[in-house]
Amino acid sequence: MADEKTQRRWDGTALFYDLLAHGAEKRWGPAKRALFARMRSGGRILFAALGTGLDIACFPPGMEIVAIDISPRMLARAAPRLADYPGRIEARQMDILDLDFPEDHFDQIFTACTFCSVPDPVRGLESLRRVLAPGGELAMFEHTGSRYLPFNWLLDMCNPLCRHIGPEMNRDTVGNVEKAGFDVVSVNHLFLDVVKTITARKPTGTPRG
Amino acid sequence: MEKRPYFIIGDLISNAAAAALAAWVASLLPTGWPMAVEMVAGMVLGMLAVLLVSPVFMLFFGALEVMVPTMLGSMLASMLPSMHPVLREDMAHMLSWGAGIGVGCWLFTQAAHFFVRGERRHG
Repeated sequence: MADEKTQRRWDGTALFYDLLAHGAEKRWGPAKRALFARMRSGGRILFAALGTGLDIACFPPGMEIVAIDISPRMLARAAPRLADYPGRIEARQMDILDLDFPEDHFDQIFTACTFCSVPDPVRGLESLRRVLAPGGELAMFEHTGSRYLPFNWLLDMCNPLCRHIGPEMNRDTVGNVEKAGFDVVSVNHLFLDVVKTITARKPTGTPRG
Repeated sequence: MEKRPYFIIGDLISNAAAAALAAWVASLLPTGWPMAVEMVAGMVLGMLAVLLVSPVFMLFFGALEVMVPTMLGSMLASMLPSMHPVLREDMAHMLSWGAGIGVGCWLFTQAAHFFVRGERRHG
């Protein structure tokens, strides 16, 4: 059962999302392409959350990907990009907190600017861990809080306003990945320690669930 | 480090304009309050104004890369009118000071980025 409040919020943003994200996508495109180049052909890949499909332009061609998003309106706007992708993307409306996939199902999971908005990030990451195979890779492009003054202070100050209109600005996503039971492999700081890519693995021998 | 001229020029324009705007908005507050009150009130007003207009810059030049230095620049520039009341009488001078603070904050952010950037291996 999808979180209706979150779904309504993203449904409401769908119409303007491409415009709002235009500058960021232009800036982050090369870094996203480098991260998504890790996608391995022949493996089971989950992309969470697809939004209006802006990230599809950064996917390497020829992949078979399952992509989810909580918002049906976002997915409707992603349809032309899904049709144009030179590979196969199966898009499904689904809440990260309530994934309808078997345990250990995917070999790789990718996210892009997802965990600034998932209401309970640790639970969301635990949910991804459940469906990722032991030894499988989690690769994330995220923005987070900062450890450094004055940037941490600024992001904390902006957060109460920003969280009402969009994402949280000061999350410790690397810490949340660890809390959810992943082994963090590397963190690459792209702008300060705020915009970053994170790669992590689900430990082998992890108890199911 | 960002090397694409489009984004470097965009960052400079965004930071200069945002901080100049913050200084101007803060200068609209009435004078005669204790300096500390004027500084805080100016800062809140200037930062709110920049928070409202920064999405325009973000449409073209990025998200956090625009937001973080412009908020820092607007915070400092909006304290200018209370610290140098004489600038209120010369708007062009105030705006150029504001823009200079904005560019300075962008340079500071770039310097911080230089030290923080790059990959960290874990485990």
